Amino acid sequence: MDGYVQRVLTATPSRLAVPLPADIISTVEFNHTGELLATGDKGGRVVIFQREPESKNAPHSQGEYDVYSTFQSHEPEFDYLKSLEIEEKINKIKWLPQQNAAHSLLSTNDKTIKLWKITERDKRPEGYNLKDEEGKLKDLSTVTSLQVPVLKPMDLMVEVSPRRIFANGHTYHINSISVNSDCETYMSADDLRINLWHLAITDRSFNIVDIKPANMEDLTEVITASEFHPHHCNLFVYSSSKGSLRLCDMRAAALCDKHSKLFEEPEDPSNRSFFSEIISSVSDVKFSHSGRYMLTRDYLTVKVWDLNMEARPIETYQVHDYLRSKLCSLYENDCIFDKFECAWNGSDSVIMTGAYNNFFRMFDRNTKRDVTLEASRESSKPRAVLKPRRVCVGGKRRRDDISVDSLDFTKKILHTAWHPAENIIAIAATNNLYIFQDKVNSDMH
Amino acid sequence: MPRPRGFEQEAPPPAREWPISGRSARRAQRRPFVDAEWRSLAPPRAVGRSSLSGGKLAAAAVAVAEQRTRRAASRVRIVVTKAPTACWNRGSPLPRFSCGLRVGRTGRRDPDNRSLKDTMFARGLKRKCVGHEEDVEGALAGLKTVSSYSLQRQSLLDMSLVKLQLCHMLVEPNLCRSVLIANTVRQIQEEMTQDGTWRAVAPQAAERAPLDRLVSTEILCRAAWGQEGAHPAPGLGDGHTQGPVSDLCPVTSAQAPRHPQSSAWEMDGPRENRGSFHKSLDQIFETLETKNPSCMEELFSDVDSPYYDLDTVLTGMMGGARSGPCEGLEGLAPATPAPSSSCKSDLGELDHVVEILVET
Repeated sequence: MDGYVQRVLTATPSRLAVPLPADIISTVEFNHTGELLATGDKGGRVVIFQREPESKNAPHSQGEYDVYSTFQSHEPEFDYLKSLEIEEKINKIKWLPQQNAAHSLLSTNDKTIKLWKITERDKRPEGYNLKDEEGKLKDLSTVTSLQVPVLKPMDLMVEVSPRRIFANGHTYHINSISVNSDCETYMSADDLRINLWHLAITDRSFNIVDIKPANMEDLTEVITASEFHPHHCNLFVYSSSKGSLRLCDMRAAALCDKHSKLFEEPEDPSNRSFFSEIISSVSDVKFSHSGRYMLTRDYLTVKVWDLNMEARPIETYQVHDYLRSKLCSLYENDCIFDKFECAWNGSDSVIMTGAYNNFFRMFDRNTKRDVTLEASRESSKPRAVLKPRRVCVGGKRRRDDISVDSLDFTKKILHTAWHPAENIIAIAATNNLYIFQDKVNSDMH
Repeated sequence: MPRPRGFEQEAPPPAREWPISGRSARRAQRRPFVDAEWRSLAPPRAVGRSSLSGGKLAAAAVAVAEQRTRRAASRVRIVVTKAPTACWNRGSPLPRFSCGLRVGRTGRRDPDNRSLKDTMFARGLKRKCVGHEEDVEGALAGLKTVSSYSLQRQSLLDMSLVKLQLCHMLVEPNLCRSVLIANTVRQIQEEMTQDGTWRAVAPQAAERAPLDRLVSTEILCRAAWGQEGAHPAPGLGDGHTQGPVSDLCPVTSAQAPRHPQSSAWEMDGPRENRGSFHKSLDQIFETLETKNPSCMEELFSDVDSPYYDLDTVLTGMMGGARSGPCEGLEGLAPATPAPSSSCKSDLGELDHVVEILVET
């Protein structure tokens, strides 16, 4: 956890003071091996980065990420019936486990999910009998002998094609997708419903959760995130805006409105305020790699839950408790509704989440140590070790501390991802993508 | 046709030259990442859109949305920037507090008050204390705390209502956010009814004849629900009426509890305007509901695009008002022309309400 070095990948040149809205990164996801890193932005584009294979010739470029492919995944649409725009912003990207030479990922905006296949082509057949090099038909009179076309190497070309488009499944805005461990199905969740799809079938989906009340005036709770269990293909969890988690078993019933387990922490009466419910709304839920624990993020804390205990989380970490006294201001400028994501590391020993002022926090579950780091160009040079930051809340103030009132609430780190095996993290800060590697890790190579 | 948008104008993104991968692209040899190269690899952002060849509905919707956002933009811009000062309005009900609220510690400790107070005052608002406070200070310190808490609570309620109104003006309301704000409003309302804010009604409030307001509110809500078939989230008064709106028949009996309620709203501020918050929340929820995709089927009814416009809702409702649940009210209310005038005056009152928020 100590000593992260950084590389910055950015969508706009640094001379632009204000990033274009279309360049703001809206999701970050590593694939299952960590070789590829996909980012989606508000303009509907997906950019895939690939890790360079480590070579002995250039010991400094040990496994750095470079652009592999870019494509336009979603376009803006207009729903004429409701006279509403459908944004092209990519809400989530999820990689499918690799089954052949091609890579596949699912990307979704508010309404439509698309399955993209990414293939490489590095050989080209040459020596056709009927066509010449440009593809024009040859004059048959010039053909005197037959040849067998051979495959010759060519410059690497990455081709991306949409293989499936899963449309019209959702009335409300899709907030999460999750691929099942059976590698055949996946689910998509919007504010009130969760649908189960088969990866090969686009014109049908099964509704497995529906919390829409008969009277919309009774609506008090929405679904905020959902995920399949990493190993058990029948289990999934979804979180709500009231701070509860529901674990459902698809074997129990076709419609999983009735949960198998309800994880909810009783409210602390001493901290009760008008904002208690808003800050208890869970913005992200992630299963651990082991499948035994769940990580949830609400506005001020991250919590680790044991699947075997529903009464309360086993660990609670304060992300930015100094904001507790500022909730009214944060409510007024809408920051209180920001949805932060959280991430596990490969061994489930460290958890990470983002905060404001381009800060992000990491908590070591074993040593109970935590660190605050900043993702900014100015704060450190590339390949320099990141310096831990501190927010002072009154009392003694050290030299490099930031005071709570000078935090920049427009610079928020909502999307983070951790390499599945190594200590490499990807942080999305507005339009910039920061990739940090553990110094220990990089020194070893 | 320009697509309906919120207030912000997106600058058209720069055209990027990029060979679409998979067709004719030859990927450049891999090189370490450099900003400029990345840009050249990025695909062209869709510049411009094909004109919307929708039918009249789409055109009307676009026009209405634009008109609404233009109206909303001017309205909202003012409200949002000035909302924090709105709570400290001059029309304080009890004259002894006209000097304003004391910032800082008071004799009585109230945890809720502290949490709200610290944040509210973090803005740095100061009120100059006008005078004879020293004598009454000790005795009233406790009362001040309570009053400041209720004022803060009121301002939080105002802010929430404004947010709800804002979010139904935008093109795509975020349902989670709307639900959370609505829950906060409901929570405040429950607390206000529980701690007896309603009970402290001066008798002179009765003679203000809130019946007009009651009539207009009921008709508004009824028209919305009757035409739509779906119900908006409960307005401020629904804590007293029984459940769904179809039970509007006990309107006469419900009037009694609503009566002090709407008057109680008036207690906290300029009377004729606070009362119409009662109505405004209903309006907000009804139009929020129309934006809600669950009412898609209702869009095919004859009131769709004009529905978004309050004026046409009211005029449309005048023609098609249900007579059943209205009977009780009509006995109390003046003759037919009066409801329309009261509704029109309610419109004026809504603007007045906004002005009060702005303190212009």
